Amino acid sequence: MAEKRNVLDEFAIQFAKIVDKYTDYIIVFGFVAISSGRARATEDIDMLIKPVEEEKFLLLHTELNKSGFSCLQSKKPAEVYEYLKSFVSVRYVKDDELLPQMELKFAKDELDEYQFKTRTKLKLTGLDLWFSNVNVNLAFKEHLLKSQKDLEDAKHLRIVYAELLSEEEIKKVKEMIDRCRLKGKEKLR
Amino acid sequence: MQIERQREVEIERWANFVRDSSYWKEQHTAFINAQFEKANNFNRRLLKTAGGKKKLKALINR
Repeated sequence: MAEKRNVLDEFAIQFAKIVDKYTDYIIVFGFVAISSGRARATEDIDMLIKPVEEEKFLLLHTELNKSGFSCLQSKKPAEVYEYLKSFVSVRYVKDDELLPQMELKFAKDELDEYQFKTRTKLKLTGLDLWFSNVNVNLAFKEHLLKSQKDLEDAKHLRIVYAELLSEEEIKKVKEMIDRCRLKGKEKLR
Repeated sequence: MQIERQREVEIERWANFVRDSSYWKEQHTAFINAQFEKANNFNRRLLKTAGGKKKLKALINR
């Protein structure tokens, strides 16, 4: 008998199935931990996609619309594309329910490229979806995000995926985070 | 401090349960679904109240 899926699983599967026809995607951050059994709430799923040309995005957006997904920021696909192109995330909901939401953004740098290169499917989740790998998630949560929620997610991931951990890879990604995300911020201060 | 430690112990206990059991997903599914059912039901009720639409819009744009 098929395993009963929760609201977030169904939402992610339906959305990813459409996106996958047009470009590569990865699911990152909170939903990696939640679909791996972490018992906490979330309002959104974070998805990173490889940038596409506007024409292709319009097709993707139209198919999402036809399947009941709508963008909260704008009904105009060209506007939605502008947000993405400027590396601003956009949010989609399904069937006019406010929750859950898919937060979608374009990959933008070396760090995102690395996440795509090392993307993975996680058997324990029971989902046929692409996730950023566990070590990358740990580096983000422990080195960049660092809220109580993120540190607790990291603790959970370290236990359930003990066999996948590579401290060497975590260190490498943390260094990449320093280069790509933190260095620029210091300059702005 | 003691509360934080207690919380950590509970996170560890649950993570070990997920790692070692084959039936964690059933409990987890009920937990996740309950949250969305509650939140979406609330939003529908809010929408029916005076000024509800405005409040909902503010929630989206927060």
